Amino acid sequence: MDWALATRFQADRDLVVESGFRTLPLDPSLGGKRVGAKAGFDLTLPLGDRALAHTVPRSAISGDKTHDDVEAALTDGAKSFGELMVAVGSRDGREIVRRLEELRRAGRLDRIEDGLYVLVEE
Amino acid sequence: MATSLKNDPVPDLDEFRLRRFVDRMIDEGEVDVVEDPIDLADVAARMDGNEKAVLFRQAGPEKAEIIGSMTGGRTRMAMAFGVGPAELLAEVNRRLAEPQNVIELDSPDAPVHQVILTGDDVDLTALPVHLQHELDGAPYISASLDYVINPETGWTNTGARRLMLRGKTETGIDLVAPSDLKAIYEKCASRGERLPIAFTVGAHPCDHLAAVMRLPVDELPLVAQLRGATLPVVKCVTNDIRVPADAEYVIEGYLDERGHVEPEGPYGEFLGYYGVVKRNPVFHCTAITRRKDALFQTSTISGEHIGWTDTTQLNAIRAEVTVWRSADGCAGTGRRQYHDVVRRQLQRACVAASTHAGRGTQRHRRSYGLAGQFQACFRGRSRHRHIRRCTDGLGTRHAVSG
Repeated sequence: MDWALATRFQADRDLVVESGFRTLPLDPSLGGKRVGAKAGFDLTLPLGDRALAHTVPRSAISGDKTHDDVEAALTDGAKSFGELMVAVGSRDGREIVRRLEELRRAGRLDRIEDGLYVLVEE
Repeated sequence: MATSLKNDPVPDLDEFRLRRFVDRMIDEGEVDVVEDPIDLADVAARMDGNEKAVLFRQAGPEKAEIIGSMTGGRTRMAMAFGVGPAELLAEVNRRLAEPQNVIELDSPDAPVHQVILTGDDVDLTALPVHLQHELDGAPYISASLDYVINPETGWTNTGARRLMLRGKTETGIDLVAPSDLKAIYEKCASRGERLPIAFTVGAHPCDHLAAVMRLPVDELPLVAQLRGATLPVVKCVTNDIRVPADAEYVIEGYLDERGHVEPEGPYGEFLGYYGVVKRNPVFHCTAITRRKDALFQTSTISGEHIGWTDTTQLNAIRAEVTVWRSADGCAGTGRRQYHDVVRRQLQRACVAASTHAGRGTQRHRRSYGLAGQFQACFRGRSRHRHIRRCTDGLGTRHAVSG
């Protein structure tokens, strides 16, 4: 709740304030009145697919190995680092860093939207 | 340049090493110790949503030791400062008011120079660096605290910045948000010059807090102040930067002169979402030095329980200190006057923080983010006193550094 309030709420857009609600008269801030005010905080995010900047990070990666090496996996399509780890069955990741460095130094690696790695056409 | 008093007695070089603090926290029941071997691919999930710090005894094929989430709890941060959670803010403020010395050691005397790797021996991918979030651009060194010298003042600046592995000697570094380091770097790059830089990895929680502070001062003495003790430093092997000599690891090198040219990110960020890919400078590693039994550190940034991450807890204390200090100039305000002002402003400005954090359980209040920490800082003080300071703080802006 604190987190949603801190990251999804703009006070000039998402605050709803209404007055004239029946309330418990025990609240001294009412100053003797029988009705009080209420505030609503709209902390919702849009439903459906979200942009990367609205995606909540997850820590786990999972899936079955589909390719023998990084080059084959990238030939098959652009991938995030985590997808590359899954595709080649890496439980470590650092060997992929070294392979990506080799490809980059050879001028064969680029990155596209959302940071996906992609092979440069030869 | 920091005070350098060679005649001072050399401090205990293990008192503020991270491993000793970890051992203490194990005794206190604050650490989830993972004895079994674990793949680096599984390290992040073990820390996600875990209220405790996590010590991995055998991570990766090399069976490396990694400590994660060490500062990700209010209780642990308080113990790092030798007090209870309710006294933490007062203790930090007390230390900030008390000068401390910095003492420079010769390289052979510095624990972090017990092992020195340069030239072809430098390999960042030999460190136990793991992928932290599903969509991160690569594995990040996340507990890295940066140290640079501002050429205009001679002061050392320290901050907390993550390094995205790009290869054996290269990483990305996020220098998009305004900061002292960004300003220092951009001036260097505009002259076509590299900026020497060094990072400690594996540092006492006090050093981490010093790194996230935004105070316009020489920040080596600031590290000493937050430790509440003389700080032992050593000059780097491949540049002139002085770093804490009792760190677990130091990564030395430079940011190259090309500016913001290479894609860096995405990265699961401390607000609980991803930071997108940005154009950023490249860090080149020229040396890795470490203790013989060095303990690698990783920091939790994002995840399913944002209140139990290193960044949230560190930023919360930073925010409390900033609010507290900004109120100091208003000490002469009349009591009746501030009482009236405060009632109006607090109800408006702090309504969110007080209503939300006030409803949680004790644990929620303790562990949640900023709002919870503001609430925690209000409790247990006289009403007039805390309200005055809080309200004045909200209306005052301070110079940004860090």
